[in-house]
Amino acid sequence: MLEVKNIQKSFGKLEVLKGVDLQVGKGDVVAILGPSGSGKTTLLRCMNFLERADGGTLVFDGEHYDFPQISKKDVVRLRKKTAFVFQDYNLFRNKTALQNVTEGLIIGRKMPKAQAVETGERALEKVGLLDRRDAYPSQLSGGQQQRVAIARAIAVQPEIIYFDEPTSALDPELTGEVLAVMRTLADEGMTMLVVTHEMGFARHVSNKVVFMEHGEIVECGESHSFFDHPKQARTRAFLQTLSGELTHAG
Amino acid sequence: MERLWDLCVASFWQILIPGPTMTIPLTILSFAIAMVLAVAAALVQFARLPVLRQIARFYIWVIRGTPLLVQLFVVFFGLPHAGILINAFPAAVIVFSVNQGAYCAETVRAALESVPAGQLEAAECAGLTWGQSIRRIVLPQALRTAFPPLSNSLIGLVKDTSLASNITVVEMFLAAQRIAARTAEPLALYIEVGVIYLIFCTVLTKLQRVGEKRLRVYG
Ligand SMILES: Nc1ncnc2c1ncn2[C@@H]1O[C@H](COP(=O)(O)OP(=O)(O)OP(=O)(O)O)[C@@H](O)[C@H]1O
Ligand SMILES: [Mg+2]
Repeated sequence: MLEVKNIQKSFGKLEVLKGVDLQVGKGDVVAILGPSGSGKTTLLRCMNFLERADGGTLVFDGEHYDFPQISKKDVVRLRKKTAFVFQDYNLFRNKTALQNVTEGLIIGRKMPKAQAVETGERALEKVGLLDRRDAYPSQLSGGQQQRVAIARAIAVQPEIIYFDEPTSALDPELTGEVLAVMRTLADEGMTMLVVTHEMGFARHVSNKVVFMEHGEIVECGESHSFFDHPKQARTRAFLQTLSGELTHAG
Repeated sequence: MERLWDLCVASFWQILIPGPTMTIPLTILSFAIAMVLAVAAALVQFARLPVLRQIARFYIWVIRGTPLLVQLFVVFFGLPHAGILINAFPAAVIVFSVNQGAYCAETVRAALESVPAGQLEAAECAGLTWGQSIRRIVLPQALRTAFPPLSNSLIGLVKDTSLASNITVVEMFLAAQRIAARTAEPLALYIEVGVIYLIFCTVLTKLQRVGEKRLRVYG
């Protein structure tokens, strides 16, 4: 469904993505893991053109695009097929929960208002927040805001949703409600590309795992074999530090 | 003392009437045009549009760097020598709107930049174009931030319209000036006109409070 080839990105002298390849099939839930600064966010942002990549190609639904040369028109068109969930939610502060969800439908996709409200209410219901439809973001908890952000993402019926560490700005007791919503989406066959530090999610919800370091993919594969039989020494070391942290924390 | 009081009472309406007929229309018209100029000049900078952005910077530089009174004189007394004749009232509107526009442009630009980048990014990711994102998400938030300083500018403008007396616009100050000359009571009359400006500005301050309260709905 989606394929990225040899994507490259530098900030000044700093090479952040050194030619990354990635394939996502329909219904895949791909977890991207890796230490801080390895370029995970940058990869996601480049894929949705929030950053302009210096090189590489994108194949989306069989159509080919050159990252550095893509036109504004194609960017807007492709963005309508995708959705993005940010680490710090980025709900529109001047809109209610429902308006946050319907904005992309009414303005972006020219859907009639009544139909958009109905779609929006269904999306809010799915994340368990229909009763807060008229609340502004400032009146919602972090976990609730992120669930509205997920409702905003699913309402447009995207072909893929990008998640950038959707739970890492949340208190531990709030991550559960967000992860539960994401698990439901995965079960329903939504295609998702998820940057995460939640090993439970990567292991049990995603079907593919990509491990990145220093702007390169070190290892990728089926999530079971990735966790049970990591091939690369770097992957083993990374998983070990994580389990070490877990034992310390527990 | 009683004579002065009677004089003030007698002249009150004569000074006040140019308020609704001159000072207020001049203020409202100028400020409305100024807002259009300000938002345009702020947006071309925010969007980093190559040539337009330079033009906006130049406009702001020139207007903020020269006295308002000089600008009034250039347009009303100077331009006729270049064959461009503009009546006093339209000349005042042009100068006040262009002048306020430059100051307010900086206010609006700062407010646009204070909106977190994630708001624009989220709007674009939701499938809105850049223009739609600005109009529906970024600009409304920016204008809320800019509301108190813009109210400040509006209050400043009310008082600045008194400068239009210098180019023969019969607004409140010129009305007071004429009575002062006729009665030879400058102290009483200039204090009186000052009090009238104070009343106008007090009303605006109250309106600002109401406006701020209404804009606070989304916390
Ligand atoms: N706009 C930018 N300008 C300059 N450098 C940047 C910019 N964005 C990211 N970087 C740098 O690129 C590198 C990769 O950053 P990125 O945010 O993609 O990492 P990450 O894998 O998402 O890390 P984390 O797990 O901490 O979120 C970092 O060294 C970062 O400092
Ligand atoms: Mg990141």
